Amino acid sequence: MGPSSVQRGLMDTIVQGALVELFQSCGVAVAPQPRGRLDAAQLKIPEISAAISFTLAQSIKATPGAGRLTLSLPEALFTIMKAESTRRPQQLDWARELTNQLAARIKHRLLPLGATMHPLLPSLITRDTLEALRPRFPSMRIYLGRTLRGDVLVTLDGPIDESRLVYSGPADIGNAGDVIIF
Amino acid sequence: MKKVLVVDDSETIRQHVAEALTRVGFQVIEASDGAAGLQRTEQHEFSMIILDVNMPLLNGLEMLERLKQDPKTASIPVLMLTTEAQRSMIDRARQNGAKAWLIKPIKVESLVSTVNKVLQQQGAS
Repeated sequence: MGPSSVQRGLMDTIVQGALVELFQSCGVAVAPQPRGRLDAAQLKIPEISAAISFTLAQSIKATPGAGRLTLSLPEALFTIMKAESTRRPQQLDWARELTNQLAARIKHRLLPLGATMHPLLPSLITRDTLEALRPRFPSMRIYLGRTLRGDVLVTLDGPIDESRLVYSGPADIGNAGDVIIF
Repeated sequence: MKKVLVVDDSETIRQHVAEALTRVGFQVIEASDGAAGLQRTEQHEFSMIILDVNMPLLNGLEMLERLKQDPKTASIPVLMLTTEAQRSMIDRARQNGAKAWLIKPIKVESLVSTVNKVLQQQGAS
């Protein structure tokens, strides 16, 4: 097995793992669908979407490239999300925050592989904006997760060279939910 | 009643934190970015400040530095509540006087117990 076949699917594992954990933290089970079987032309884009731009450098000396991650959720999904608040989270704001948290989880998974991702601030995007990107879907990484209230869609567009993702030892990072008192 | 300032650009996160702390007897004032957060410190006296890191206008680490440079706010304990988890950032916050670093998503009980613990430490010192 050559290096390229070893690396194949690593980004899929990273993004899908991050997606599953993110929604698990909200009490929602997500079943990622195999990326190879997705038909980009037939994908239904869920109602609410947010995007976060990022830069990514795959080595210390490399010039960072720019990319963008989007997360789209069906409105119905918010009805089963665990919220530790008596006020229902505002769907649009919550979508933005979830996108932020998804980017952070991907960033932390990339660090031990020598890739440094710097997400910027998340923002909402309309379904039409994402729809306009559909012709580019075949050149982007598209991920779909099944939930009991519809599908969650993730798009990842950026200069990620999977063959250069090489494990370089554990990164010195904390985990979601950690409390560090100084 | 002790006042806590929560600075986060996510309204949902501010709501969660505010509800959790209000339930245990704190008064919570909110701000959606670091610059607005600094303004609130001129209008109120806070027992604690909870800061996100990635925010528009002035990020949480910059706001922390400003707070610690100002004699009027330097002694207010600051907790960082963020998705960031890199040791270099955590160390920077510690060196600049933050009292704790909490990585989102955080359970309400963990948040409340950390707030109480840090306030106890502050009272004891």
